[in-house]
Amino acid sequence: MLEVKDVQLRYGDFIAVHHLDFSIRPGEIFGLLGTNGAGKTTTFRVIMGLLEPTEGEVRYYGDSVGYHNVDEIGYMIEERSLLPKMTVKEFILYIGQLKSMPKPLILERLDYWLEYFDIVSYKDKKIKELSKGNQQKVQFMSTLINDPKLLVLDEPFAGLDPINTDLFVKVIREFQKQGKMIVFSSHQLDHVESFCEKVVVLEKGEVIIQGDIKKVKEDFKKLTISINADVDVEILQGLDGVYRVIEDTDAIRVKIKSDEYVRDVFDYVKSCDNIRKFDVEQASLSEIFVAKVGGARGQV
Amino acid sequence: MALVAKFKFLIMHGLKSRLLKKSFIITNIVLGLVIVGLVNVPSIIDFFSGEEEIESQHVMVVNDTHDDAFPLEETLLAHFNQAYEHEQYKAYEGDLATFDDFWETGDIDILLVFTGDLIAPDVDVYIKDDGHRNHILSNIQVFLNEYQDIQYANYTFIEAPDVGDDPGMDDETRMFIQGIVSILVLPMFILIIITTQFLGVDIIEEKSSKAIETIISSVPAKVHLLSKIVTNITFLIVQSVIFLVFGILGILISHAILTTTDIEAMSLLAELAERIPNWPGMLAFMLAFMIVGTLLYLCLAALIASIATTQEDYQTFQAPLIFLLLGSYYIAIFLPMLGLDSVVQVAAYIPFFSTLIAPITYATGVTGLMETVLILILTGAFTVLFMYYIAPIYRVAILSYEETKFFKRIAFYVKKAFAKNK
Repeated sequence: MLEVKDVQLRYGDFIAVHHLDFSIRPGEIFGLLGTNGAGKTTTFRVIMGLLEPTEGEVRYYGDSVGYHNVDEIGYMIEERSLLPKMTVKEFILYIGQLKSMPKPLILERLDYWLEYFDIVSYKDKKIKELSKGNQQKVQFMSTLINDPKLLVLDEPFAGLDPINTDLFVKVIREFQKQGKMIVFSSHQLDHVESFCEKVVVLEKGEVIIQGDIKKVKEDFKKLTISINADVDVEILQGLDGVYRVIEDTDAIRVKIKSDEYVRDVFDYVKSCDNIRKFDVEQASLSEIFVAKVGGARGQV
Repeated sequence: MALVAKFKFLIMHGLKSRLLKKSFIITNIVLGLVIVGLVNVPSIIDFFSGEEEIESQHVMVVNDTHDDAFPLEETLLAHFNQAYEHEQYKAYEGDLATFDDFWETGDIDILLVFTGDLIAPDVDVYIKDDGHRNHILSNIQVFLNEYQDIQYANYTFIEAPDVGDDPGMDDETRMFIQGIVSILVLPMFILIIITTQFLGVDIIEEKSSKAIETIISSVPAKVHLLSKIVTNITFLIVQSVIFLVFGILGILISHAILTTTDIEAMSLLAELAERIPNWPGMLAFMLAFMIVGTLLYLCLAALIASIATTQEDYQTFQAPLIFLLLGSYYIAIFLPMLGLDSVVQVAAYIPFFSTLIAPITYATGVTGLMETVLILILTGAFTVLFMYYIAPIYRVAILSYEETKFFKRIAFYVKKAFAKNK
């Protein structure tokens, strides 16, 4: 279990992370979201023990995270963290040995992952000769090589095409099934929504959303109703609780303040002709993110 | 325990990637050939200049003077051979019935017949090869001067009273030592530059490629710093040993293969040893200062590399290090020549300068044995202290990518490294 307990990181007067508090259990995937400069990378560095928190602590199975147990953790940083002059094999051997692994085991796992990511032929190629996508795979492999109990992934899908993204997602799911903990950050909120149970959204180091995704959505209250019918948009806009109407090509989307206004909209649509769709949806994580971050920046 | 294993791994990995590089192997093969060649230059020249020149001349000296008891032949042969490492002029073992038989007898080359008074003798000179004439005549003249001195003058040398002062070094010896040490300091200077460059490039490569974050997440920054320093100091020692082995190999080749010419090569070293009486101490100090001093420069290079964010950054930021090295090199070479002993002596105490200056001040007698040992201890202590203080700055800087100006950046990292709330 990983526990981030009331962590605060301060540089003089500047507060990089305000009182962050969350925990991850084995088999959980945790999303850390936020705009650029929100404090995600700093939080990851604190988790990895690279930065010492000014207040609070990080506990890994009840112990502090340090060089005595860091070999059980896989850490992938946002930008490509590779030694381009080395070959793929040399680099993985280098990282593996830094994780206290014996050479034969590293080579065995290297062959497995090379095959998994379909880059066997690049084993003895220099990293600088690989495409960006393949470099990303090598970096991911270096994170997985020690079969970590905790995966810390900073923007793992950045720059990946959909096929490779799915490949990465599959690996993460596999690790989850094995009861490992995964904490990751991403700008691709659809991924976060599809496989994270819990999230924290940071803005300028402060937590603006936190908790179980389902609960976050419920708490957000605002709903979207998708309508396909011959409706008068002006009438819709005039209804109680409606704060926005968007005319998309496939449907009209009506944003309402809470579920208590669904009935009013439904009653109006019922009176219209040619009704093909009336669908009430919870707000997406992306909408909540934009709304909350915009709010934090004073742009509701 | 795991950290110790990782520390060893980092050192071994660093050394392997440096020592097993093609460029290192090729450079050392070329340098080896050059060093062996240079050591053998006198032998090679002698070898190709042919054997005729070193063919001995057989000399017969007849003493028919009033002082016929004087060992004239022995004395003159000693004079004739003084300029040679080997016995160029040898006594003729045979006998001549008449002096005129000289021209027909094949194994005698020079005949000198002294008659009358040995102070002002009549000398009949028989020489088959005119090339030896001037050498023979000038040496007879020198001998006669000495003989006249022995006959007429009585010299008594009065020693200066011993008042406990160090008589110091005569100017000629000092100039000679300065010349030799200047030559020896140059490889030190070059090796330190190369080693610091290697370390800086190594660190900046890891930092600019962001690989450093993955590495530092597995080993503490302090261990990483120490492993880089140990790797590079080991490399320096290995490279120095390789140079030394090449030198010894050169001498051995000279001794074993070119047996006819080895005497000169060996005697060159013997002469150096004779003219620099404190050479063992000097070499020991050079080695000690090179190791301690390089450690200090490596710490500085590591600090600069950790502050830089790109290769270009590092090239710009390393200027102070190069200036320090160049400054101490020029002080070491030129100030002793200008006779500014006190300035050089003070400079020898300044840690970054002491590396190149202290061995010279010891060799030229500006600092004595105890004083040089003191300078070495001070430099060592400063190095340890320096390492102790740069480690926290390195820890902060190595994972930061500030793009501000150099001194602003240093100030920021120092503040962050020593802030109570890190």
